[in-house]
Amino acid sequence: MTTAGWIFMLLSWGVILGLFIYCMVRTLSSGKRNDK
Amino acid sequence: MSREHWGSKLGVILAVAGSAVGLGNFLRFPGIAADNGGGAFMIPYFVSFLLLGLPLMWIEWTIGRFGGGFEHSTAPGVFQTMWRKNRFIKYFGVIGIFGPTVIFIYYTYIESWLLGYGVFSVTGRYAACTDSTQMAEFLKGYQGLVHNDYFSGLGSAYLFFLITFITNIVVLCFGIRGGIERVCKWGLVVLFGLAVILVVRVLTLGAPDSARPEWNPIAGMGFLWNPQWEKLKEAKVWLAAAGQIFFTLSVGFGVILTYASYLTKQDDVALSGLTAATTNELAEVILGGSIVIPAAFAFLGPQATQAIAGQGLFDLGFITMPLIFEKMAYGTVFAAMWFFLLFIAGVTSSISLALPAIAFLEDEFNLSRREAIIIFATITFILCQPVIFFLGNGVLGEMDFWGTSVSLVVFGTIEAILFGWVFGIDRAWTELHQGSDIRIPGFYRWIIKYVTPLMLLTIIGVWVWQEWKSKLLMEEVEQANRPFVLMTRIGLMGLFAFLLIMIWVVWKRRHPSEETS
Repeated sequence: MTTAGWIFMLLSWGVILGLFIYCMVRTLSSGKRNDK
Repeated sequence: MSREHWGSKLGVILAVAGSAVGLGNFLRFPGIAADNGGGAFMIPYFVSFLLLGLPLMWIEWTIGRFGGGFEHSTAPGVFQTMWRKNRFIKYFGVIGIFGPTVIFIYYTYIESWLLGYGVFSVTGRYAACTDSTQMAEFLKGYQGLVHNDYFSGLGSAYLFFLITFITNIVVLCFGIRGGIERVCKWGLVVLFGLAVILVVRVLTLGAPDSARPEWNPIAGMGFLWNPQWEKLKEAKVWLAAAGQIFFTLSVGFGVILTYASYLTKQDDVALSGLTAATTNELAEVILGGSIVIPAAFAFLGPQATQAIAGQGLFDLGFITMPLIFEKMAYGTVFAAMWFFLLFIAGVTSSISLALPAIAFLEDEFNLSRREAIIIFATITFILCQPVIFFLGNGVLGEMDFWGTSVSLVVFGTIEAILFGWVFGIDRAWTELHQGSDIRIPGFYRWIIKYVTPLMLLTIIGVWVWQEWKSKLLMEEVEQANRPFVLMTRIGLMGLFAFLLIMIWVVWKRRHPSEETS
């Protein structure tokens, strides 16, 4: 895999994983807030 | 009768994500990405995600919840509540029932192949097939296209179809909370678990052939991710990216609209829509992109992988992948995991496809869930038969074209225009943020109103320009298959007309004031 390939893959994975973790944390924390 | 609601916020998110995560995530995406510029493909892909997929996701969630507040779970009723002065708009909503029902009819059959192949991988039924020719013969025999040493008829395929169809109906019988939500919650956890195991297995394969150390999964990842910049100049690459985003997120089906109608007015849609979309992207880009292509590259090399990337979904899933797993240590186990994973992805999608028609019967004809499901199951079971018995005559392809390609884009365009222009962007923005857990950046007002509809109209324009003449005139259909394709087309038109009449009857009986105003 070329350096550009690694950059594209890690950037794409990073964006998606970052967004997924952010969304899940916000979703689960708002769920707990609603339960209270 | 009180309206059913989702049990939890995570439940509805996983249900929508389950609807979105399907065969396309694991089979369609890697091939399209590798074929359209590799890493560079991710630029139009992410642009389409931000300008097309995400706005449509929010639009469907919002209008679904809005319509649910008026006891409407499907597009005809929802559209009518959004544009009360126009008594014809409800008829456009028929696409939101027609599309998913048509897809359900053929999708359950394809889904049943996954179950069948999962069982065959454990029992070793296709173990004697050692090359793609033999595996293709096995598939054809299973589908009943030929009688050969592997299968003498459609018996096995029909048995697995019955099991799959009944599974879907049973899940639907348990309702939103007890059936769909529960299955999607557990199903997605198992699906992600299996996918992670397969990704780890593939990426740790090393070089299976010591004589060819360059054939390894990391080089395979390079095949998928190394950017080919020149491809970005081609319009078809941008269209492929937009198409993939459309298909993968399940937007434009009318399914998310129906799911969201079971939310309460206080439930968030902004964060939930984003979370569902991101969950799908995780399954597609990270997991889906790390199984098929790297495994094919490691075992079959670059030239074969190039050919595989351009293969159809069925060839990749039912011919190439079983062969690859045969070459792997403990391949039987991993093949079973692969097919079971895809089967779960299929079930969580197909139950969502069935819901709009069932919800329509429940809401508008005041039927009980059981009555609605019996009617839906009877009609779709009958309509599945031509797909099964005339598979080789182009019936499935024709249904796929009208049910998926056409309905999806047209329905998405109607939704986007209705939301941003008729409902009004100010009102739409307020509705979107009602009970919201996040604040969507303000520039999305502009994107939802102008950019998304424009992109959709462009896609329709290009399709009409490039494909419609040959499609309508059946130029690409073999002469012998034309009567079958024509009959399918007439049948679909009949179904569409039947749904239109049902809407007319319902509004005459139940909403006469809207008809005469």
